[in-house]
Amino acid sequence: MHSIRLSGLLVVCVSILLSGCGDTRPFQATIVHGSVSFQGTPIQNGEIRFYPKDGTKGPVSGGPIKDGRFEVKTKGGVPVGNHSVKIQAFQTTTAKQNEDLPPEVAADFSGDLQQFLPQKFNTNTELTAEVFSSEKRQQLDFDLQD
Amino acid sequence: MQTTLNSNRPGFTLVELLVVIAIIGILVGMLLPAVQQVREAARRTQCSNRFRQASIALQNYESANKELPPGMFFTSTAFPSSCGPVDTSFYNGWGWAAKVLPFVEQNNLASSINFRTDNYFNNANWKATATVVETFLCPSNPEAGALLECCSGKSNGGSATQDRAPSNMAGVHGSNSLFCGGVRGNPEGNGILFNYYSTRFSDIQDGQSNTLLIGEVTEVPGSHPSQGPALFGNFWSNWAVQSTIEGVNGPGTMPGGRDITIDPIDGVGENRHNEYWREAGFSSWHPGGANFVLADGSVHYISENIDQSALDNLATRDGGESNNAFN
Repeated sequence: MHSIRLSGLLVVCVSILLSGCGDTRPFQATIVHGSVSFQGTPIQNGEIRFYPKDGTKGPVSGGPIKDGRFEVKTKGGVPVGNHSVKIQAFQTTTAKQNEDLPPEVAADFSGDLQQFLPQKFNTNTELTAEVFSSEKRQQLDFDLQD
Repeated sequence: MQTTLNSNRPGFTLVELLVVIAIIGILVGMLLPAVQQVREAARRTQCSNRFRQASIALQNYESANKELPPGMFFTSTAFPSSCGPVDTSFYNGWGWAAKVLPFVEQNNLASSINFRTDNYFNNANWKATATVVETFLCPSNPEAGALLECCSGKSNGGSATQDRAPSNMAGVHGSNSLFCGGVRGNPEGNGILFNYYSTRFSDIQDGQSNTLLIGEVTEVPGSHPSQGPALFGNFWSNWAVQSTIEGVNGPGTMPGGRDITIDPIDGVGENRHNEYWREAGFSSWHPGGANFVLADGSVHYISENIDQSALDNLATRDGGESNNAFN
């Protein structure tokens, strides 16, 4: 009899402990994934960012692009609503631009990555996206054409 | 041999004992996180005190020199002319934290630096850049004080171009990109501490109580092109500026969700520290946000869930927007 009461107490204690675990973010978010290509070629090495606009609440979100694909899942993904999208893609350059460096320093700077996409995809972006709350994972593909 | 086994002897059954142990376990389990939270709160307070110290040092520097130091000092022939008139000769100079050393009781370190003739990584200057300055660190950081750029904190493992003492503080460059024409060090930051140019407090049209001066940053693990595993991050001697463009605890930071198993430039480029810079932003190991100090010297804890537009408004010195975030 006692042990039944005690185990009941245990259940209550555990449920109190677990009740503290919950999502406290002030915005809804959806995991977004997809592919990114430029002139038909998948972007091997880049970054994608979603900036809330038109009254959408929430912080910037995004992630790396590797082998033409990305997935945004940290902090729950991309906040639900309208976003302007900035995409950067990088390729290796030679060390020529730093040829006036001492050699031991130039080694550190060699292989600098240069962003090669037009500014209309990043600094002055024209890309937009709408993220919905209904789906668990939303697919967004970006086929960039200059 | 005495036979003392007696069923009427007062005592505990095994079940009772187990239940008591379980209850004590639950109580301890409830208590431990609370203790950890208090310890973290203490570390956060120490961190915010250091932010206040650094902001007072900058204010004293401004009083003495009639202007703030540039956030960092880097010029390169690689800059396109559209980035503003910068020197055509390469110069890799000193950041804001190096300039305020005399104002954080680091006179000896300051006098060991040759500010005029050498780059920060040359000769005796490199020894200074590898000196850990506690004032610029946050104790919540699991890597607090470990040297950057080379060898995961093993001291002075590489050549004079490696091993730099970290900083958990970065000047707020503004809300625009740190890059100009693909080169890090945009001299046209819309905040207070950015590359090449100095600002004065009188330039802060949005008001010192509405403009971010310094924010918190963390390190990430990576791989040095020639030295193997290493930490990358901001170092006080130079380069310690960040933009709010990546938010607080943004996707490229730790603990903001940076996936350190993904290294997009494995094999080619192999310049991991450049990759750190392209993705980084403000971040901290405190739960849910990071410390920032405003130009008026008040320290605020900004949530990682802050609306991006509100954060950007706080970063600009003369954006003309009215901020009510802290009023």
